[in-house]
Amino acid sequence: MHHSEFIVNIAPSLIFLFFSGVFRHIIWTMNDRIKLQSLTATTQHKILMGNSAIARGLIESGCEVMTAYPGTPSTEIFEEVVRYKKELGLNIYTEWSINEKIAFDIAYAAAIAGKRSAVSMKQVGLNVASDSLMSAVYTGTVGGFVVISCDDPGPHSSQTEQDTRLFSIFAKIPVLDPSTPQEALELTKYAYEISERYNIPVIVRPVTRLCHGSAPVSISELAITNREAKFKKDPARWAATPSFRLKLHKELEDKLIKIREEFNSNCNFNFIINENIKLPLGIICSGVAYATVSDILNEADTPLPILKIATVHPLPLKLVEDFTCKFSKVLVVEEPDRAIEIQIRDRRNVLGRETGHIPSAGELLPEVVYESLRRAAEETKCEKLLPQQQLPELSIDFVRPTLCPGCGHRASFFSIRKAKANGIFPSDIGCYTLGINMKSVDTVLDMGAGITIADGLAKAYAKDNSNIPPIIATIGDSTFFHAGIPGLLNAHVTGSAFVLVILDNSIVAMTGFQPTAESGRQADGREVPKVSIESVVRACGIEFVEEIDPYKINDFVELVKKAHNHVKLNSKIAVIVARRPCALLEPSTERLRVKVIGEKCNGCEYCLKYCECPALKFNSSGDKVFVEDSLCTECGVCIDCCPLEAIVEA
Amino acid sequence: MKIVITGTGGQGVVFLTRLITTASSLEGKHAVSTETHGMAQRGASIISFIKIGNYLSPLIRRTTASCAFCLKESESAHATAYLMPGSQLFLDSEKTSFKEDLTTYITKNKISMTSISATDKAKELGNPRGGNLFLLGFALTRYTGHALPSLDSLCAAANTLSPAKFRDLNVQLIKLGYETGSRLNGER
Repeated sequence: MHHSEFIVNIAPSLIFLFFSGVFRHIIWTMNDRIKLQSLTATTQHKILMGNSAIARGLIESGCEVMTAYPGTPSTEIFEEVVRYKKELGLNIYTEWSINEKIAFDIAYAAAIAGKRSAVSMKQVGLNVASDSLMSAVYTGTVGGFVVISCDDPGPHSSQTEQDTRLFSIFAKIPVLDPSTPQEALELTKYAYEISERYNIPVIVRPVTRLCHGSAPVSISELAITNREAKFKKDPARWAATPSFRLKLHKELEDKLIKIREEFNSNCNFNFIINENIKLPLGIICSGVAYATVSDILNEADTPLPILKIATVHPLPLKLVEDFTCKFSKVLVVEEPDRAIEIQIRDRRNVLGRETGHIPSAGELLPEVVYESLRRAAEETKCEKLLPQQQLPELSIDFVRPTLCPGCGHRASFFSIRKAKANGIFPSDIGCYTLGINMKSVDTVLDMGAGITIADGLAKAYAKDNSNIPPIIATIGDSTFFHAGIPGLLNAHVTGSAFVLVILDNSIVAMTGFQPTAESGRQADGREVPKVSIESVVRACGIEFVEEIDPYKINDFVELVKKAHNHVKLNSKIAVIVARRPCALLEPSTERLRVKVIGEKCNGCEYCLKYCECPALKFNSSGDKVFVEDSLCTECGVCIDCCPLEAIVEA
Repeated sequence: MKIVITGTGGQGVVFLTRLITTASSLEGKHAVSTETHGMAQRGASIISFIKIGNYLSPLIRRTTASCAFCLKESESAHATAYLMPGSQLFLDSEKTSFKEDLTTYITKNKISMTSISATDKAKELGNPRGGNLFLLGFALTRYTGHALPSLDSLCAAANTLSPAKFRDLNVQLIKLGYETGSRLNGER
């Protein structure tokens, strides 16, 4: 499925673009470098996904070390670097790390040894890496160091709608916000320039629609840096104690003043369009929100003055405030939160989230932005108004995501619930979060919390010392390695007691099959040492560790009961490793065709609710279940799920 | 010109999106698109957008698209919400039993609907997942606007994008859809 780059000749389209409305303006307004790249005959043009464009920006900058932990929408950035590495034979060190904090440190270390490096992650991954981030901004870099943290307004595939740009203000790190794949490539290269000019890490922050949006991009030559790794000892910096930290903090503040000045006066990624149109309303926007605003106004043939900002922090205050003072009102359009808006000092004429002109939650879809623009134009009595939208009042039924047919997790969740229906089921982040559909997942907080929430609940109930319910936690294999191990260790050494089922499908499935610590190989195909989950669990001190094939429902149910008894009798943790490769990646070779015996099925829906396989469906009269053969993977798990024994081998 | 594609994860919405985007580029048009990844792909409702022309953002505002492909009947309302009056909806389905509000909306806005059981036809060719390409080929024979690329461009794009194993079959599916549509047009 992974074809994020399609090579086509799009030179005619660029000529078309040049002679068309908004783009002509941008090409004229943006810097010479971009002009040349877009228009010279020697550059190649490709349709690139935003993530691929960022990867291209990294290798065009001579990035020598790239690390990441997978997470939607960021995953393909790293994968594209690996693809370029393989296709072009580049000498880049690449690594899927165990978690984002580790990925950050590996890449940062390369940068303080003088190399250009990068780390990519999703926005909640930045939370995991934040301890390192906060400190690394103080100590700074030698080689260019670019952190790519992808936000997910919506959210489409995340637990929060947090804004990396706000995190950047907090961490005092420059952040760049690309609006199109082309700009993402250019800003990635610019990030290296800033990073090396001021010896500071720089964040590039795309959003989902940029990451997974495709557009024609002009690419250029690769830069090969091949710098020798050279760590120069400087304890006052790399091992700074608090008194030296104060000095570093002052240095950082000085750097930010200089960077702000560069962003104010010498950064062509910030620009104004329709500057000479005299209207009471101006727009400030950044990132994909700029692309959306631009399309809406262009289509409505309603030009408004727009200040487009790429350098959200440190905000070029002079540029922004010179703009805001020209208008009776200025609408700030950005997502997912207020980062430009809160940096503007005099907000008396600023419209945005603070004034309720932009919704505080949710993605800035074109309908939303349209209404914000329309309302602002109406309130400022702009001459040419956007007409009211007539949006369709259609009832739309959305199909929820489900575990795939044949998924081992389905079988595990069924068995866990069957063994202890009265249990509490803390779980974690991954495909198996979809166990909520089967009522076998009660909590999902963040990576690793399947274990720590179970630990905390066990302790809260144990304190009362009565009515302790069975607590059966689930966590995936990659998530266990990512953030589960310290939690398990903590639970064991503090005397906690619960059942933990580690759902091992031997891959990071949700984000598109990345290797785990058990795989013994890395993204680029090289073999690496591997470790077994059982050995790690035992090393944490756990005595009860048993493996099971989740397809063996009856054995699994008995094992969960046995594990629970161990917990009750010994007040200790019991770990079950449910092992079955991802059905998408490695379908089972043993096949069991199934059918429903019509006379036995009474339409109780038990299988639909608790087995919840997409291949099990109600017939058209809605009174009996049948097996949709085209979806069935013949795993046979549903045979053991039907309480009436109506599902049998065909 | 804006095109919307709806379906559920695993039906080939993403491939169809890339195919049309690439074919448009082959014709020298500026095309931007966006697709769904991650958890939302696990069998859930998904939507893709393609914009051809002078656009920066791949997102489409409701009621502004000129054409929609819907790979599953249950996803019709999702697609229709993005269509402008007088536009065209292409649906992979034998019969249509829409909810009343959707039928009313389609009639009121003069949205012309073409439905064909494309997946069944693709199954006959030995590819139960090829309904998307059959529907596309079929749609070309009924489409009256200017958004869609030509049959040649689409086949060329299918050649570029398909894994070697499926290359011939994919091109064949588009052509078969086109031939079926042409034949039925002749019979009408």
